[in-house]
Amino acid sequence: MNGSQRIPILKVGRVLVVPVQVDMDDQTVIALQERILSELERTGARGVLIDISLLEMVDSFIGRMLSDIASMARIMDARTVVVGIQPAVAITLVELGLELRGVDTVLNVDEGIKLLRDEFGAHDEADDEEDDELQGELHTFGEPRHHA
Amino acid sequence: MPSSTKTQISGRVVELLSARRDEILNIWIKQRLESEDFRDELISKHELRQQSQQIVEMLGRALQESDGADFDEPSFDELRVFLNEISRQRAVKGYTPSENATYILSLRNVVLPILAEDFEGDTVTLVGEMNHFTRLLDRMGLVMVENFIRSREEIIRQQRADMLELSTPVIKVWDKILTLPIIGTLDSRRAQMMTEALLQRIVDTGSTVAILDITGVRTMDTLVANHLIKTVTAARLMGARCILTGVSPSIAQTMVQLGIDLTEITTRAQMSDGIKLALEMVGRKVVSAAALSRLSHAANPSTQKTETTVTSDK
Amino acid sequence: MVARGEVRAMAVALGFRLIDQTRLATVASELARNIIKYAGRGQVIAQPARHADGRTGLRLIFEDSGRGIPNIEAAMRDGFSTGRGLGQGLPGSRRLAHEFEIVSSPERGTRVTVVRWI
Repeated sequence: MNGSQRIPILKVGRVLVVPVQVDMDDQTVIALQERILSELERTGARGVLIDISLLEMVDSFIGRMLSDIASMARIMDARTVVVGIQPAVAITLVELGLELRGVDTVLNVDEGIKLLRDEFGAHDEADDEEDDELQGELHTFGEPRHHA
Repeated sequence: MPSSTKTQISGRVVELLSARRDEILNIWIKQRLESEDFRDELISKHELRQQSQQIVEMLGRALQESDGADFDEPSFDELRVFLNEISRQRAVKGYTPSENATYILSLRNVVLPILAEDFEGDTVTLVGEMNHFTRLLDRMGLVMVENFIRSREEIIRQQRADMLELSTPVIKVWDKILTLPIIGTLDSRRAQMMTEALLQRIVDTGSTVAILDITGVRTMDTLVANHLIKTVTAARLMGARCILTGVSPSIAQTMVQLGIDLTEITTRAQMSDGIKLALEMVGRKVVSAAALSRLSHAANPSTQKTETTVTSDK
Repeated sequence: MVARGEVRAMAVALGFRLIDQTRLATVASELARNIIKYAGRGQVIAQPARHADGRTGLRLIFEDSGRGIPNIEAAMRDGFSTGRGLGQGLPGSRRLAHEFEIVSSPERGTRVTVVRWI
């Protein structure tokens, strides 16, 4: 009766994406941690993105899991990003005194991927688009102003 | 509720009240309109008449149904609900508590003379009946008072909440940049609201930088400092970096003395510096218009992607 | 886990705001886990409470008949831990609640009571 089987671990490029959609009991948490680590080893992924935007509560056990995953992933040369901490959860975590040390936290999956992409140094289409835009802005900028 | 307060209004009185209902109503209304404390700016004659009529009717119904029994009986529910509603309205309108209760209690002055008339000669029974009726009115008056107070408290609570909300504005100054000007004294509740408001805006706008301006904070003590740290930490968990601006030298000194680790928090003395830093953090830079136009003129006008160089000659 | 869910449900029913619902569910999770981890079994009682000034609240009582906590003072200090985990979740739980009381002895076990007002 392993509840963590319900939590998928998806591989997107060099990143493992883990959308945590259900409330987890302690066993599920432990099992998930083990699964993530073994997937890391198996796939050689460089990043782990854990999406907890659907979690309404994060207690010290889950907090500890996140920190542990980050530590162990680092040993395997992978970076961990936790995504989607809700406001109520953020406040509660701070009050609990959980710092989630060693864990990068961002608002959503887009930011998470961006962060990991910076890490890998991968340059992709989105960056090129932004460069083009900037060139355009420079060209169409207004009349030259003469210094006094 | 002690059972000795059971009102046992006799059937005869119930009949009497029913028969002379219109008379009672008219006298009551007339007395109210003529009384010193009639607030004609808060209620129109028409409204007063309507309300009074309904009360008298409901009272009559309740008495008949319950056979003159206890105010706690279900037959009085309709009346009770109506009284609650009126007192709530009066609380909202701004009546005083005593004005509120007087309205109901004044019914006594109308009914008792009528009872006296009817029971003429039979003083013993009369006194008994008057007592019962008075007790009933007292219960009604109490209901009005209690609900009035409850409504008042609810209004105050709501106003307080509104004020708190207005006093913690979170402003989006740029794409992905929020500002929270913290003004005045920071008590526990305000601090809580402030943190929640900021975090919610972070979610709503997807902001990654929040500028907390403490220029307007009156006193910096452990409590305030802890609230700030809590806010900064919570924001970080949501992927937003905080910049503390408006930090005067004396506040900086106080914070250090309080043992706050300022190396963890980015601070700037001026809000404008904070904004500049925030822009850089989201990948933007503030440049003068002149410099930018020089850039665009120096750039290769072709559509090829080339590096633009800024020439140093003007 | 069941404790969390029921506590949150009660909090919702009593009219607590989301942030307070989360706090209560988190406290329930922390302290219920303590029971299981250190005593094997125990019980969680959730009761509505009423403050003197009329406010509604929720009282949670966590009881076990385990060995008791030998050094409560140390346990309440942040960072202390006799087993795996973050200092038994006690100091954190205290910060999440408005009222916090703990009674523990080797003979009678441990009872932690927390209250949060609306």
